[in-house]
Amino acid sequence: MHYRQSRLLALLLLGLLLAACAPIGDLPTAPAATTADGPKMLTIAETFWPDSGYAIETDDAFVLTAWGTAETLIKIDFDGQIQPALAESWTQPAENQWSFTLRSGVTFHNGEALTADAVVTAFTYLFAAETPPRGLSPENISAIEATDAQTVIITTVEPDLLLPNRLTAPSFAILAPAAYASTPPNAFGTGTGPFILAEEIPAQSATLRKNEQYWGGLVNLDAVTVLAAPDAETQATMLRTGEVDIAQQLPIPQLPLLEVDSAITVVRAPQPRATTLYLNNRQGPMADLLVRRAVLHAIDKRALVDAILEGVGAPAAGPFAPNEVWVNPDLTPDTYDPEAAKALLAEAGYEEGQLTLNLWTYPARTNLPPTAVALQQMFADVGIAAEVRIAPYNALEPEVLAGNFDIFIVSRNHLLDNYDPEGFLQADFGCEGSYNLNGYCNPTVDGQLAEARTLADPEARYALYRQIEQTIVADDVASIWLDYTEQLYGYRTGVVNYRPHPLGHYLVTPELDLAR
Amino acid sequence: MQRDLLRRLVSLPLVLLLTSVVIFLLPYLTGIDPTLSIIRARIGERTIDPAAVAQLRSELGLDRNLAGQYILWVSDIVQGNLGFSFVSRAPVDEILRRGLGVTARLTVTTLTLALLLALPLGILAAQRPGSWLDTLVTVGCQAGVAIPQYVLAPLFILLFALWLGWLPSAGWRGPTFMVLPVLTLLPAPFAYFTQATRAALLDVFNADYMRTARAKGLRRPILLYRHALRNALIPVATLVTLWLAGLLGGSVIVEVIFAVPGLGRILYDAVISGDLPLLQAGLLLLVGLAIVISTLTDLLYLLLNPAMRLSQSR
Repeated sequence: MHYRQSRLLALLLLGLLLAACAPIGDLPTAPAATTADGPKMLTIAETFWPDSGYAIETDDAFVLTAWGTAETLIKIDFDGQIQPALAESWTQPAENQWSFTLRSGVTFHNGEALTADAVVTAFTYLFAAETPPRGLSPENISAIEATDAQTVIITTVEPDLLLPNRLTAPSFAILAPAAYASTPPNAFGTGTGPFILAEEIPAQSATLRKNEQYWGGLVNLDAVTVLAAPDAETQATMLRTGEVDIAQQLPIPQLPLLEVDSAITVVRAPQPRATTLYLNNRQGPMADLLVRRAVLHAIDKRALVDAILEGVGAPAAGPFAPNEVWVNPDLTPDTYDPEAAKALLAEAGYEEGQLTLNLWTYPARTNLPPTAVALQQMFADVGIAAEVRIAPYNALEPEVLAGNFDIFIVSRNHLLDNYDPEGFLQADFGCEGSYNLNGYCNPTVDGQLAEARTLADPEARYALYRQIEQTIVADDVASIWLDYTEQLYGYRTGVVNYRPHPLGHYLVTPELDLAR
Repeated sequence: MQRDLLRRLVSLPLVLLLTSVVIFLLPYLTGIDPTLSIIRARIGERTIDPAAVAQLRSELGLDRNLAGQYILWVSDIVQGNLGFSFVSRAPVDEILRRGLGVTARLTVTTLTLALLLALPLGILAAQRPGSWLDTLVTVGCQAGVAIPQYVLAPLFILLFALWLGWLPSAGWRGPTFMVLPVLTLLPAPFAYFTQATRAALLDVFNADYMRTARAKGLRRPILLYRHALRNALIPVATLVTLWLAGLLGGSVIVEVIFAVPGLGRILYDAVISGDLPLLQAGLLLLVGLAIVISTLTDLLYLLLNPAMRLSQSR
């Protein structure tokens, strides 16, 4: 009887094991062969899997345009130029009106036609959403109408010369009218792009199929599989083993290994993103300009790039990178001068070791915590004591907004909402700005921003931006910019016509191909 | 025995109720505003409209007082309505079911393998205390517990996926995808089970009744199975229970590195983004499962230990 019991136990265990090993997981289904050699299929790795149900008003929209499934009226191309997409042309019939003429003959993946009414439906949904995309504030929109089948007119309260520019953001992609029957809108098979979002296994993979009726012409690939790879190191390995053909977020420490792999090409793409010190301009020791300038001179930006970014990036002079057209070329990143820092501190009335600052940051970006520790050391060298606090961003933001901090280290992208720094400058440095962590307020800067919004000529606007940059960087030291980051993309030999988009808007394009 | 079981079944909802209060309050203890977290989870770094924050807060019912929110939440749960995720707006029960299925498969496979390997090894070690085999087993177990998962996992990926090319690096798309995650999770429970079996057996071997049995002239296998093992397995059973409950929610590291869409990762993301319905329902699920599992273990004790059976003929 006892043998039987033990055998029973053993059988139970084996049974459990077998049950656990029953077929699991779902393999993404392969597309039907369209050529004699079989379908041309590419696999890409995705670090940030969409978790908002592909809701078009959220950051998930970036994935929809990057995967080539949804398109906007106007787009930014790979050279940073504004180009027509679903809208063929646009004009400004009145100071506060923009008229967009749609491309004719475009159909959504579900067969519905792209008409002005469809665009109105799409935009109406966006502005009524719980968390509307901030690129275009709903309060500034007074009307959106379809005046005929191919024409959409948007009327604003205040004249907005940047409206076409703002419509390039992925959230303004147009989905088929049927998509908006549900909340969030159904993004599967309702776009206009070269690829159809066919199916998804949540948090695992997505399958994109070629759109045979794409208005933009021939699409090279037959299908694309997207695989979730939340860990950057794993993604690098998947690229090396060949499990994926393209990876988008390779970790910097792996760069030497990847560069010597002959089957892999690594691309270093500059990002409109800078590691920034937000300084409390309103209260505490940082409210004193002398102290802010002293802190600026205490920092060796080149050392930070070499040690923490391992050379993948560059020291920053101000918020704008050297390759951006609106940058002020007179500003320099070489501001390291510890003696000047000490002198300024003495002038401000602090003796050596008397000043204590708190230095806050968050761990979501891997370079931030080491940066905080390095800064603590650099400050100590000039007689400033720093207390480092690392906590999740959501925990720190309310306290920062309430003004209870000295220095907050942030990785800040300044071209998220539209391809023009006006939104960033207004939000971060405008007196009423919604992301003005500094508590900075300079009426001159506000006036210049207001003026820039009325200028149609880009060059005139950029001249104003350069003046603003000079003010916030050198004259007022509102923030301190440490370095520009670069993103590491990698692809295997055989992948043809791939290049990173400056804003990360597009990845899977009609031209993307696999060489046989 | 039946009275005991009845008491257990009655206390289950009471324990759940008490834990639900703690679980409900837990996210608020961090001091993070859930509305802000949700918005950040949806739109990342883009600028936030303060009016949108206020509107979302009232739509989600987060501006009501805590007691009111708790009562609404409990009444919903009792009716089987687990709500919708604040971030993805998908039904919470679907999300949890998917995650639980994956993690349960991973956990059960790992623990079953651990038991199948640990029992024989523990028995062998206990039968030869102080031998080279025994020392080897003990040292091996200590190493298994000491090496962290975030070291083991990349090592396994390097060895099996990159160098040997036998297995895939990450994902959950077929049976081969289970091998490396299970291999990474295996060493710790295996070490604990082995050592527990060995220690419990050694205790039992030295007991008086074992000396009597040996004096009676019983052969080794009968000694082992009829008398020793069934008592020795009780502490091991307790350990298995604890590991089962622990791994269901605690295998986050493995799930992230191997891109396994399991419960641990889902709950971790829910914590970061302040997704209250998902987080609270998920925690309640884990606690409920832990209680159910421990009740089942008690039933297993009855099977193993005849002293606990009141009415049974000899």
